[in-house]
Amino acid sequence: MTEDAPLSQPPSSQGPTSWLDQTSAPAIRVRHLWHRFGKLDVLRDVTFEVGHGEIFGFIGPNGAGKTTTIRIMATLLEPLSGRVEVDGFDVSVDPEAVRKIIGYMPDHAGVYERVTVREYLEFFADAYKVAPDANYSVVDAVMELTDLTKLEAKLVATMSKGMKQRLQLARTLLHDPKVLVLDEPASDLDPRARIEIRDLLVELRSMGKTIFLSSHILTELADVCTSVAILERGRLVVAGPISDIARRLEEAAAQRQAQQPSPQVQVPREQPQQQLQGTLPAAGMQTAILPPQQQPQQNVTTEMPAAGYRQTEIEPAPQTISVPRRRLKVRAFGQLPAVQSALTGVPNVYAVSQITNGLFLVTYVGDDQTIAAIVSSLVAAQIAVAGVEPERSELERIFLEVTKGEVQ
Amino acid sequence: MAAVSPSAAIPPKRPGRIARIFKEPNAIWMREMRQSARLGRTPWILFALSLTISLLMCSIGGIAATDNASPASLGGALFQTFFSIGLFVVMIIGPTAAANSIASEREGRTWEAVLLTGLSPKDIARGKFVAAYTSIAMHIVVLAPVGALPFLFGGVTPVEVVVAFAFLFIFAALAVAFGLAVSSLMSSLRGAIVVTLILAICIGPLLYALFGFGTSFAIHKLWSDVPEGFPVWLPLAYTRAPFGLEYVLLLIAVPLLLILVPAWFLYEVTVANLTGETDDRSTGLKRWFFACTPLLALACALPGAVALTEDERVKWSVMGETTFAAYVGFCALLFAFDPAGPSRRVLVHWRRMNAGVLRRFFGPGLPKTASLVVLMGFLGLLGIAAIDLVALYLQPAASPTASSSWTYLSPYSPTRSDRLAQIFVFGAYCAPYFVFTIGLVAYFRSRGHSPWIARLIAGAILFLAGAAPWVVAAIGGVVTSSHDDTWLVVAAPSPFFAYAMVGRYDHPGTSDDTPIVQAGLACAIMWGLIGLVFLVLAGRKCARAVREQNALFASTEAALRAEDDVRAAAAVAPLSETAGAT
Repeated sequence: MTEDAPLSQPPSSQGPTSWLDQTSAPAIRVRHLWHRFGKLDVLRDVTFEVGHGEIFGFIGPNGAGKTTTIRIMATLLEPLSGRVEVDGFDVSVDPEAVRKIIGYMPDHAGVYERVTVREYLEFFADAYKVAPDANYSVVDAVMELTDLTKLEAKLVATMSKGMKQRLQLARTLLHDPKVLVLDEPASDLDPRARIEIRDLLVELRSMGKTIFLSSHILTELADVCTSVAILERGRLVVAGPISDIARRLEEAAAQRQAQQPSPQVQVPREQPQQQLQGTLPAAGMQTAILPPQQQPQQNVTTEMPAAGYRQTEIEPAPQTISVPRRRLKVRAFGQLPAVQSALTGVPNVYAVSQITNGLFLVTYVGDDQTIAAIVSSLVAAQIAVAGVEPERSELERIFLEVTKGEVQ
Repeated sequence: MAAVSPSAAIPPKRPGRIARIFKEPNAIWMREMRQSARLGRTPWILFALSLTISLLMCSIGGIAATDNASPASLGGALFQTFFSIGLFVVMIIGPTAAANSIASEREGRTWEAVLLTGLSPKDIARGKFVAAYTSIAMHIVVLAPVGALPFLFGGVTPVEVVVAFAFLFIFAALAVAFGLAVSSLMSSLRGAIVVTLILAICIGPLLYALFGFGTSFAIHKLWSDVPEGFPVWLPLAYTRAPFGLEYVLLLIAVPLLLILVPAWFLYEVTVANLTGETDDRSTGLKRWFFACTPLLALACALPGAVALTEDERVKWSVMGETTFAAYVGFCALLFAFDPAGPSRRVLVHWRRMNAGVLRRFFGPGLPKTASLVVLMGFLGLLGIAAIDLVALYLQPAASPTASSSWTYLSPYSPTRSDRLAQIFVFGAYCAPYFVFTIGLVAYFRSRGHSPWIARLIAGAILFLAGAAPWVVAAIGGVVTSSHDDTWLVVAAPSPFFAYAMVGRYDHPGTSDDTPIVQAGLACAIMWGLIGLVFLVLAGRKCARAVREQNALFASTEAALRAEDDVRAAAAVAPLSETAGAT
């Protein structure tokens, strides 16, 4: 590169990259990020932002480019082009500044085995050059926060994987970073350890930290994340708050279907699973939603050999546009006919099936209001409801809808 | 967490550099020491080592005592034995202990965490060095009582033993630095240990034979009080050699050079390997090259300039040029790691610190690096030849030297002009061929090959250029049953042909009129021109790569700026609306 080459601005600034950044810089801003390994483009024009105080989930299949993005964010890799800013600092030109404000926990990172928990944290406190006078208090505070105080004299080698992960998290907190970048923090952990890590993340968020985490465990992300980004084959498929993405997807699907005349087609029998999963119809595929006046009034019962349970199609309530169907698990004290009867006429409810005794699967279209209507109808019909739960979490549904399962 | 925020604390007054060493010891060193302290096997290893060497020394002492040897010679033998064993211990254990350190961090996936703490590669390298050195120093200290055994017999003075121990510590430091340099290159712990061990086992005995046994004969010729054939001669020479110019040169300047140059090199290699690819990995190594190359050139030129006879002067001159050519050839391959140009990060860093032309010249960038290496190497080779030529030219005419030159059976005694021509033609071949070497390496690197691939391809081509002409010449000579030097000309493209050119002056006109020297010089010019072409091509390729990169950055920056403008306009619009409403 010639030394007069145009550079990433700010020209020779020591801080955030523009007045805009100083006033409204998001915690992380990734803009038109490209990266290449050899001849393979592993990241292609990835752009997203993470607001302050968010827990941001970064999702994607293996090989999608998540870890590359994270490594660029953590200043360990310089991008081919594009810009990544953490709290307004460009990771390419201000790596030292970025390292001071991020805490990075790599995927499957190791720990020093032949030291105690306290020694381990003291080493990193020294390495981070945390003020010596405050050194012990910082280590103590971090141990307390991560619930490691009781284990301070324990050798790291003798700790469980979950505890080691917790120790790693403690290590990332020593220099009081604004942003935590965690690559698969809950991988290989047992359920208890996962829950503990998740609770810790929520607590950290409440302390004002921005948390950027990648994970394959969608249900966990759904519980804690305020926003997500989904990456596939190096491209960003979608990013934003989960509820917004869900709404946008539904609107997009609705628009697509509204633009096409809804043909009177029956759903092919060989694709029932696809429909039931609530996936967005692939390009060219049409969902069969019968207009209310043309739908049969009587219930249609179909046998689902794969699932092994009975499903009853019921008359849907009138609606103007058709959107993907969702399924809701309802635990209720009643028999299938009574439940069918209670839900007949409820707007946007399409089918009811019984999984086991007292557990029903209700196919519907809509949002939480529809779920509330379903519960209300059941209660009104003197059927006690013990619980309702979406068959898939919102995040899982979004992920399946927007990704194609491609890898690079 | 806010309560314990380090930013909230008032920063204490920072102690001075020396005070910091004691008050704020290197974090890596402290942690490694804590880890080592918990390693249960260390005391047992130390115990077994000291026991084995004690028994060995006692056995050798016992065997030597039965030979009616005087106590003094027995003490001397024990001294030589102990420190020879000590050298091998540090040459094997030192690199192995160091090889363990960085590679284990990479393999154990703790490396990135350390890197992100903000510790500089230099801090990490120093911490790792001190930790590994502490370990090997512990081995030497444990062996110290055994090393005192020669005192019981005499033959060596306490000062000699203390100096020998001091050198053992210095060699241990070099061994550790070598292990660290290898370790910093590797990502696998086992790989690092195996490679280090293999190199240590190969290089260690070679150095021992060369600088121990080999040099002791030359030193004995100079100072007869220093025993001949004793490998551990250096500590003895300090007390037994008379003080003078040779003393200062051979016992102070040369050892310092031989210790500091590789130590600095190994340190810079380690730091460069620990530095990120987009950071400045070049400056340290280029500074080392710039500072050490003239010193080494001088060291290579000196024996040829001060040798007593003309014949020896030519021999030492050719040997010096060969050594220097090997060194700069190694550097040509070494600097293949340099990227086409400085990264964005480095450019911004330079801009912020208002880096001058010199600093930028020493920074990353293949064309700049190749220019530096070519310049220093070419000038160094010519400089050695020039110094030796001038020294030989100025030497007062002595009695004709005995013919003990390159062709031992020749009855011809080369004249002074022959000697001058020998030194000249050797330098005249080496220098252009070196230009070809650096051009070749730079060209393949500029084509986008990784450093190791570029080195491999260039190495293979250099090997072919060195060996193939001789094979062809040999086959040609055998097929045509030629008994003269006709087919030797075919070998002129090989760099080893320079020796044939030198040898030609030892027996001119004895066989035929084959233009050996002319052919060699023609090939040298050819190699030089090819090298220059390669350098130009490499420069062009690098410039193109940098232009493309700049264009990519420029387009991205333009897009980002446009987006920023839109955002700024969007941010300003509501404000102006509000102002208008009020």
